[in-house]
Amino acid sequence: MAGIKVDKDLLQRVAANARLNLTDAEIKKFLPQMHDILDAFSRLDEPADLNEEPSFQPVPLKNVFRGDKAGKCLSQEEALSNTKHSKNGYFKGPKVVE
Amino acid sequence: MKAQSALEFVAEARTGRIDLEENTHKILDKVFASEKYNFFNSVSKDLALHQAKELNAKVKSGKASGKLFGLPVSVKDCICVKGIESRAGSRILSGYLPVFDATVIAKAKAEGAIIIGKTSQDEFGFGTFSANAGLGFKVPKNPLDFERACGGSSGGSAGMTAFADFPHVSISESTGGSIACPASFCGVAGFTPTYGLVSRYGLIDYANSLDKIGSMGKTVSESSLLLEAIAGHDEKDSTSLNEKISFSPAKSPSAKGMKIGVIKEFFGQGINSGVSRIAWDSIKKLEKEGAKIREISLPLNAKYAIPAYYIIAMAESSTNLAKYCGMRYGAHESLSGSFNEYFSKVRSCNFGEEAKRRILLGTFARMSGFRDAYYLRAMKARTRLINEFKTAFKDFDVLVNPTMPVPAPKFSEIEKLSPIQQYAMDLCTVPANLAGLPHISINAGLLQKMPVGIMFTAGHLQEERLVQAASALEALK
Amino acid sequence: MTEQKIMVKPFEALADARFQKPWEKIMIGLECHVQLNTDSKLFCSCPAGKETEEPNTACCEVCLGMPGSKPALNKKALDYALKVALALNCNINEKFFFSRKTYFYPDMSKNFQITQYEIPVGENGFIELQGGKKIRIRRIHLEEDPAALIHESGLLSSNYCLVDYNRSGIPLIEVVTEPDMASPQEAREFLDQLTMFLSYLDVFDFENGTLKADCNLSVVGNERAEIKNVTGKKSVEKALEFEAKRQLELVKQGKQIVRETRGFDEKTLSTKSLRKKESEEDYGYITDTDLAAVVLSKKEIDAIRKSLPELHSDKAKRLAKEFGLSDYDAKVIAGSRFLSELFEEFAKSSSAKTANFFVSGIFVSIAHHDNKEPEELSSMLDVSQLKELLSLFEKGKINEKALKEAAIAHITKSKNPLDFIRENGLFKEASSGEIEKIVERALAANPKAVADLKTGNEKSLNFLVGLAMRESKGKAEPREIKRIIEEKIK
Ligand SMILES: [Mg+2]
Ligand SMILES: [Zn+2]
Repeated sequence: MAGIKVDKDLLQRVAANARLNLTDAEIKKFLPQMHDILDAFSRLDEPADLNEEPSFQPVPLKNVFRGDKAGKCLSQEEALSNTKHSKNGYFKGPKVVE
Repeated sequence: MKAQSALEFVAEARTGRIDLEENTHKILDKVFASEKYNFFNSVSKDLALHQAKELNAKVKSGKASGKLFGLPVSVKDCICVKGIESRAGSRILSGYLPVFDATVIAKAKAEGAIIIGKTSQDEFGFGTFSANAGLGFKVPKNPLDFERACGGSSGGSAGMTAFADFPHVSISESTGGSIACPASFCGVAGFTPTYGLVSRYGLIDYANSLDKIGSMGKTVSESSLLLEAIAGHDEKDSTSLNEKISFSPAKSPSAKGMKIGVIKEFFGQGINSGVSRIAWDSIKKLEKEGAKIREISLPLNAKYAIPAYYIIAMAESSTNLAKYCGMRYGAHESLSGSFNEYFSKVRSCNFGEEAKRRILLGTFARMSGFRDAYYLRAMKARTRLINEFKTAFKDFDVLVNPTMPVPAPKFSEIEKLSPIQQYAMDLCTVPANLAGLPHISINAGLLQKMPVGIMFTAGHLQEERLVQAASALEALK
Repeated sequence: MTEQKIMVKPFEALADARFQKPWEKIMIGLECHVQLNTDSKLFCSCPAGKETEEPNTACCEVCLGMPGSKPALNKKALDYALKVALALNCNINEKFFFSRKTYFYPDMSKNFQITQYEIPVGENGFIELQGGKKIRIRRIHLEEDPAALIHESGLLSSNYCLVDYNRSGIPLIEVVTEPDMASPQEAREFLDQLTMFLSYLDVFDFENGTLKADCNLSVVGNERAEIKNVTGKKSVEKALEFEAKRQLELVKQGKQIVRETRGFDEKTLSTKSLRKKESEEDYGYITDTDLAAVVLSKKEIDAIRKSLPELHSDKAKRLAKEFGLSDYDAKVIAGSRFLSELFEEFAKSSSAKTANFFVSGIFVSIAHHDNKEPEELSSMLDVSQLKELLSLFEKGKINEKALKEAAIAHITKSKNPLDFIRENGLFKEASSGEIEKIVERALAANPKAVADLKTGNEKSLNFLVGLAMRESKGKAEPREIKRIIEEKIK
């Protein structure tokens, strides 16, 4: 990862992927910071023989299941209680076509 | 007069000698009077008084029981309390009233805790000083020096715990050091358990493989009292451990015969020499009491823990934060434009600066072409770093180091730090957090009137050893 | 016998495909999303498959993606996925986990889908078509369904969408094939075979469950197009037929086919471009660390393999042998677990011949007539009433036609078939006297034909039978009339 140059294009591609609109001031601020941060992180390139199994959790965990038993749901009112956009028991979202 | 401890208070409350409604009123007054310190994002006055009334009734009917009976408990904002605005310090969660209690809240309530409010924090836990408050939130001030930070990200919890002149404990949370750091800066006891010992159900995620709910109190015994009450297996959290352990402090704690490893790397470069000295003084006291002290080197953790931690934390948090888009809860904007336009609008004007920075870095670290070099590599490095600790715990019961490299800095000093300099401040707390190891930070002394914390770390599920070492040191003060 | 024709369609169509030239140039790959019939959702305890109810009444903080909620894996859904993967000849991975596929869309409760990426449940399997061709299966993985979207004034002109999260979190398996299918008919046969497996493994609800597919089609040597989210086997076939014609036409004209995502319009049976695919969307997959890894031993995998029920190809062989069915009939009956169980049940009280006649002849044609899978009618049947009906038929008390009519009334109107026979006077005894009279009248009115018949003229027999049939208004059977005539002129 060392030597990855985060340029404006890449930053904007990442921002678009994360659904963030960056202002010019933000881009100006974030660009050198991201460069510094990634540069510091590139220290992780050093161990050449890093072939351990990844630890997705810090403690070993496996086979944690739930039985297939249906339980209680929220009421429609509770489900919708935190949204400002609803209609006839549905959540209302933005249109899906550009 | 020495303040009554939480344990003494609970014991007395159960006898009915304390009118809990009256006491809770009194405490809420003090909470409101502390407003200028910004310890709270919201105060749950109605809930607290309602609970107090119910507990009073229990006393009357002879059913007063519970480890936390009548005890005022503050809760970090990122932990869901049913019906109480829970925002994790972020504007994007404005108005979010959870429809369920976090498991720790349900447990605390069942033990008789009185929930007094949601404490301030860095937005989603993204910070070391609680200075990265979300848009429209206030930064908590250190109760010992108004110019200085409480530490982060559980800043409000630590500040309130230090400030309170009444029995009180706080449910807090650590991802990379967010309990130990503010505990150190405010001079209280901060207890971070083994990953999975306390259910995360109802915790608004920062990074799922790193987050741990823990406790704060003025003393080791107060923090263990709370931790014991909220720990335990929970089917709703698949990473919750199915282990039952107990860690109540001994009546006469002693470190005699304990094998304590002093982590060499955390006493050297980058650590304030005054801080090092104060930590060493404490270690010497334990040695005098019969603890076996030896130095240990953790070169891999010293070098790689920070980058591995931040990559994992940011990658995971960038997915956790994807859900905030102005549809189901939290901040909404007027519904217009395509889904991409609408989501981008909501997210761009409601996330704070550090949140955006971490979303960008985390999204980058997950993107195809970079994922293997960053995210996957960090997960592999974590295995190596855990193994380094495991080897160390073959020789030692606990490891020790100064919690933070400095005492609480001034806000004016924090402003001058670049993001990467801020991340580097987590040098001593990140390794244990990355490895999911239990650790406790307690006060070791004062440096120019500001508290300096010392941190003990034990192997997975060895919380009892932490309590032993930390209480022994506490008893020597 | 039009029913027979409908029934054999998949096999017939397959034969067609083999000899239709243009299809040979086509490559089709499918990503099939099959809803599993569990009681609860994949990661929470909300009931699965209640999407017909009021919107947002079968959801909780988990499937609504509320902050603080955490997923917990449904063991049964995992078991079902393992069963399917084993039945489809996949290698089972001994260790696998779940990943977050991050993309923003209003039907996504968390803006990421919990699915499997790096290591799926099973890999490298296949389904063998009737003709012996193997369609390779790349992988089978488990994932959660998104919510249902409603666009009140149509997809294109709605200014907002309505979201019902009742579907959100329903367990799906995704079966991804290699691009091994050479025609829409082969794709259809693949799906027919797949649903047979699902039926035998009892992991799919044929009445309420959904089967959707993303269909990739290309003309060899050209870019491919993906038709997203096509619901049902028939629509998949239709969508692919349209798309194959469209692409072949373009190629014939020397035009370029663009890499794109298309949608299928059920009304016009055509596909439309949704978006061009210049670059793949970056889903930024990472492990979902809220969930533990699944680790299976070889022993456990073997145990599941051994617990698989008799599947359709084995069953067809057994039915042919045990009941003396033709290979063809055995395959039709074994083509559905439900049909085969129905057959074996009827064969307990009737002869195999009668059971076969009823199941593959009458019942299947009723289902096809209503455009349904036989399974979908299962809740309409009262097997013990039907057994009595079959025994009447076998004793010669009712004729084929009465049997059919009573069965239709039973299945479509929940009518007790015996009551139906009684109320409509369909018992043979009651009617055969009548028919005899009709025949006598016909013979008396046509002495010439009778005379011709006596000299062995078959034509006049047919003439007389036809006449009597008309007179009886179809109540009588030709065979019976023939028998009566032959008796009379002896
Ligand atoms: Mg999929
Ligand atoms: Zn649910």
